[in-house]
Amino acid sequence: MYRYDEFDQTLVDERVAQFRDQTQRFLAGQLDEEEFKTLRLRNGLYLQRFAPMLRVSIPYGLLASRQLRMLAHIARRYDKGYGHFTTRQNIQYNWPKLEEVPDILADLASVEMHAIQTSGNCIRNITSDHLAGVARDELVDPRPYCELTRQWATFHPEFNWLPRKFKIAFSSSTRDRAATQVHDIGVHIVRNEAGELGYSIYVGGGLGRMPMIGHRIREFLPELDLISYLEAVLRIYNRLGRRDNIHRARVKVLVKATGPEKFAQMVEAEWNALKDSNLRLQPQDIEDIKSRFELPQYDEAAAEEAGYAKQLAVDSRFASWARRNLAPHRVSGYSIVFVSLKANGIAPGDVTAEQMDAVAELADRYSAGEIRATHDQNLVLADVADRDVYAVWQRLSELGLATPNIGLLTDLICCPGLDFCSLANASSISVAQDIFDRFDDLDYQHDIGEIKMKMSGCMNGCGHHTVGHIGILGVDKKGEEWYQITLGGSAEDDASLGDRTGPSVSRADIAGAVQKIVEVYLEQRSDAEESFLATYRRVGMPPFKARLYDSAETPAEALA
Amino acid sequence: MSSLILADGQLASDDWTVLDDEAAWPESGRVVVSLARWREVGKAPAGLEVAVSIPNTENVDEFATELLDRPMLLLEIPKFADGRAYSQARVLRDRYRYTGQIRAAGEVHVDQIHFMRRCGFDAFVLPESQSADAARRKLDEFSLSYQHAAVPLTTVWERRRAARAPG
Repeated sequence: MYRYDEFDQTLVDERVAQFRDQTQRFLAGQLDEEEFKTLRLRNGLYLQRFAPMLRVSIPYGLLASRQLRMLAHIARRYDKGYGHFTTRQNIQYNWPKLEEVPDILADLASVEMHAIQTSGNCIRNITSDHLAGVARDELVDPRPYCELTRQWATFHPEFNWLPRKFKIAFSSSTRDRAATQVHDIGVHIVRNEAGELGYSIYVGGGLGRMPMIGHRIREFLPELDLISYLEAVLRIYNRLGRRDNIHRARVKVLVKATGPEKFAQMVEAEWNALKDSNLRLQPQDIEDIKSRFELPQYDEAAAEEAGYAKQLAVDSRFASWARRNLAPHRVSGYSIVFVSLKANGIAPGDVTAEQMDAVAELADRYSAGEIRATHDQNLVLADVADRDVYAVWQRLSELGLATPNIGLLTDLICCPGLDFCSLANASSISVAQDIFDRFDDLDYQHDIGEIKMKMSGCMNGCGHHTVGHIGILGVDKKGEEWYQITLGGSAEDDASLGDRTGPSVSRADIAGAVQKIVEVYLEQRSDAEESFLATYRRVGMPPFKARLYDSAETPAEALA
Repeated sequence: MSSLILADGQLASDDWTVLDDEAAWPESGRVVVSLARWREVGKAPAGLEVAVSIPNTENVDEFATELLDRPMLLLEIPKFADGRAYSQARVLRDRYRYTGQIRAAGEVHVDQIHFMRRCGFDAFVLPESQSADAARRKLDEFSLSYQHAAVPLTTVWERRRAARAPG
């Protein structure tokens, strides 16, 4: 866990004062609505369908137990007793009162948290691998680099009024768990042939209306040049990104218009003018940041202990959970525990104040006092000794946080949709519920295997539907909710955008359509080892399309 | 009435007159001309002080060296949410070491001037809707900064480096 120094704390405290002043001026009629809007958005505050929505930043998804307890406190005191984890490792509250938001920010600041730049056309939360520091396939821990970047991006005087929002993600592992190639900038921490540490830089990925996979514009950037290079990219974007059309304003559109090579040349020219300036990092700057991370102390004896093998043999519910919701830890004798926020009857990513408190308690007792939020809208206890895994599972079961579905069909990701969001065209939470009901049989889900289903209630794509193995997009047709389906998307190393199956299907038919897609997969796969994505890439769209649309159920209008 | 506020928070009287491209040069005084006009004439007529107004769509790298002896450059802020002039100001200060006044004019809002100042602006033409009192308070809204920018507060990085320096 990164601990603030006095400077970090001062800045967050001054932000609270700034926002309190802005809110008071707005409520007193001294600040007009349009101006206040852009200011409040830079503190993650939206005015939504029913009430304001406040998005709180969780840098690279990492939370200390005392921070999670504060999030629970906020849910209880200022909201309706729950929060919603997002696809960018943040948390949102759907029912705060505008006049209380400065108090919420003050409470957050007391535990080194904030809502800075969680919305608005500025640099957003820096995201990363939710298994940072514990994954076996990791080169180095990416979090100090994320924190450096967070500090550089925080209140950057030049880049607070960009053409559009700007998202940066870091990965440092063989398997990309941070969807870096669908971010405005994806940073891969790598070593070059000489063994030196540095970065590969991808630019221009993104989801939303115009989904694109990022382009690598620099194969190797030396370690100390990270900030100067990011500054060069942002300056080019700030200068040349389109401002005449909000739907053409992301950096991906600029990269597409110039071409990745030309864009890379412009960045390189700007960077050459910046790289030897005071933006160049000193090795000690990185060491300083690293030294402010409190890392877990592992018990070497843990590897010699009995672990949970005995319980696996006698408790089939536990065994079924262990199969899906545990991942191997780089330290032997330890496991990574996924806390599923996808239970039947609950909106994906929702968590109550009581659950947050209880997970904080588990973290203190069993997992180095830390919790991570994933971009799949689950939580992780990353440092659980094998001897404690069974006890953790028992408690999670009592809390309704042990659905054994990580990576399976019902571990779907989903935006708030029409139930909360004023942008949405269609509901997504209720569709998630239908799918849950239809695939409630866990044995069936296990048989289907790993499948990433992602759902958005509108073109903005907060549910990342275009990179779902199965993607679902809600659209509005003459006031009715319809759903477009895409197949074959992926946000990992083999990143790809899904293909449209064809005409959209109605609200009544969408869960059935998913069922048909799954049936075709089960028939077509060469064996149980061939994943949905691999099967789709081998057989292509035709068998899926045939099953989906060759049916009397398909309404004539949709075929027109 | 708009008001002119300087980097130290003081109100100043504005003795610059904006000159239309078609208007004849006056005999004397201080005038602001468009970038296009300045690039055409290349030097100030005798007896006149001439400042140049730069649209925020321009790449200052292309002409900055022609402007370094101007007493004032006016950067246009057509919409308060349009951040292009911030980059122009920084490039003028950091890369070309421009030392004259950089003035923000247009939709300049008090909640932005702290950040503008850090990018190198040192004069702000506030529209009537904006209060000069608020602007004065807002200039020092943050006491610290992570970023090196044209007019740095001592940055957090420098403070950390100083704190770890031996002795």
